[in-house]
Amino acid sequence: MRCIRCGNTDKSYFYQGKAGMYCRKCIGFGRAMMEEDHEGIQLDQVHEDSSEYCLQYPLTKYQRKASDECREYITKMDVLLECVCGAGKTEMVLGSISDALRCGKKVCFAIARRQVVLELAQRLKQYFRQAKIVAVCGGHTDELDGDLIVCTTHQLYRYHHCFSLLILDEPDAFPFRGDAVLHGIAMNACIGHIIYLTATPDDVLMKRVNDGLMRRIVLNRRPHGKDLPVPIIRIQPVWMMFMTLLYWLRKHACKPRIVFVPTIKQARILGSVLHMLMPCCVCTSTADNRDEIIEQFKKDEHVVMVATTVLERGVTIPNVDICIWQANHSVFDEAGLIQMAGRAGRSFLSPSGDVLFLCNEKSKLVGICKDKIVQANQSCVA
Amino acid sequence: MCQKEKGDGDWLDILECEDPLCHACRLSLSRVDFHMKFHGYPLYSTYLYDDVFASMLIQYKECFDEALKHAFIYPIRWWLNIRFFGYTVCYLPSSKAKVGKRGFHHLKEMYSGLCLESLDLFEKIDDYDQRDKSKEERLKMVENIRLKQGIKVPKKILLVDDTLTTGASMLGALHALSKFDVKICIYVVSINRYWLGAHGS
Repeated sequence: MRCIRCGNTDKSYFYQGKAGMYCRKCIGFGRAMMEEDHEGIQLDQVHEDSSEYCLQYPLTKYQRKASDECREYITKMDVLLECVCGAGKTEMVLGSISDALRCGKKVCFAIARRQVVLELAQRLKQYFRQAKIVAVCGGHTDELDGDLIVCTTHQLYRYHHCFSLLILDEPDAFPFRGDAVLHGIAMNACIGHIIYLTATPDDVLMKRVNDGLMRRIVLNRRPHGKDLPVPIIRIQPVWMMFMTLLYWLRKHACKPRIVFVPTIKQARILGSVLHMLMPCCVCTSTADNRDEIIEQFKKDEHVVMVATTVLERGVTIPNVDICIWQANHSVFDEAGLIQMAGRAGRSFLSPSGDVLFLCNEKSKLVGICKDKIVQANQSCVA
Repeated sequence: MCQKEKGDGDWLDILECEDPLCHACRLSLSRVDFHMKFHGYPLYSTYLYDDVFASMLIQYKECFDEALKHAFIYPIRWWLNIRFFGYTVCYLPSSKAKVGKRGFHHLKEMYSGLCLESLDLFEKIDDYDQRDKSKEERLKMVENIRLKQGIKVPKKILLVDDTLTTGASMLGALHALSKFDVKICIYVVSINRYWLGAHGS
């Protein structure tokens, strides 16, 4: 027995109800009866001229090489595009998207986090001006069909065997990471091949690469060619961490600064304390107006933002410096630390940035994170 | 609810092997064992309607997870059987369209584990769903419930529902029974903070 939606085969998750047998593993998406044909929604044909796209900047030679390799292999197998944060992963898959659209194939760009969906849909609309690009996420579910669909990984349950090309951005990010139901739903939505975009591939993806089931393409260089900012690690008692943070914030007062903290409670406390000393805003998963807070932060360069891991991925703020408060906290994992550090030095105008890890205990993970960034920089030189 | 197999790290699950919920999920529900008078009739409730309870109820009612049917009253099923011995369980009406879509009447199944007589006594005059309705719209339910024709009204009635929000549906059922000389008690699985604050037991 196999769930037609999430692919579950564990018998203990199936329940025989009055209306018939259904899977309880993916019950959060509504009941999927085993006996019924799961048709999903009917999508229209792809528009003829939807494959044309234009970039504001040409790809660098490294990006072009990765992009061409991706276009070549995606017709045969799944591809892992492993690029450092800010390397331009989205721009590197435009060629593959265009190829698929030219062949009349439906393409989906799926992202774990809702706030990135709307931003990415806008960016893709600038590239593919003739194509119908639809963003599907919580609060935006009126229109479900387009040539290119940008959605959260949760919304993929609506699309049963619909896409010939699925691009999974940040598959190692919460909530997609380790969620068997979301994985199953993503597999169910795609009838062709998948491009995984990440800077920090997990063991599952690497195992598939090692087994020869997927092609790995690596790019450790950002378009501007500068090295990734290497984090400075400070291990201090909490009171001294706070003094160091104040000093660091004053030192970088002419630039926007993000202070990542491990918990919502800490974000509120630190945000209130800093607000007494300097312009400061707080962004956590509980804030309903997250998009507004981020937009406001992008406009005002002299503001400090205290944020939780909700902003660790997919958000680009030019010229920003990063501090991670209590980087040794168990909430932060290696991928998350690399992603947060990767928010700095992304733009052409300000390719260098400052990253500070404040720890109250020595942490192996923090050391590994720094080593990986150093290695990525060294591999570019080699 | 937690998607883990029962007994996964908690030996108490082995003792409560018939409980559809694992021990951890059961503990996450806020038990209040509340008692008050609702328009002169005794009303009992077991849980607080908080986020955890709401998500369980949504999984049952809106995601149609019939497997949860016994989870709501499992810990107090014996108390209900003894306290309301001789009563007939009458559940409040549900939207016919919703029952058809679910394939089961959620209240009928929820209370099916009791050893008491049960009766589908009420029906909605106008078949609309209360979900996402404002308080004012929900209060219209007072006029929207009537007794089904041709059914004999029992002498002792236990009116049951899943939760008491505005109390409009319950009041509608009480209005429908007002012409009859019957003994009425009310049981709702959960109750919201408004009622808890207004009527401490």
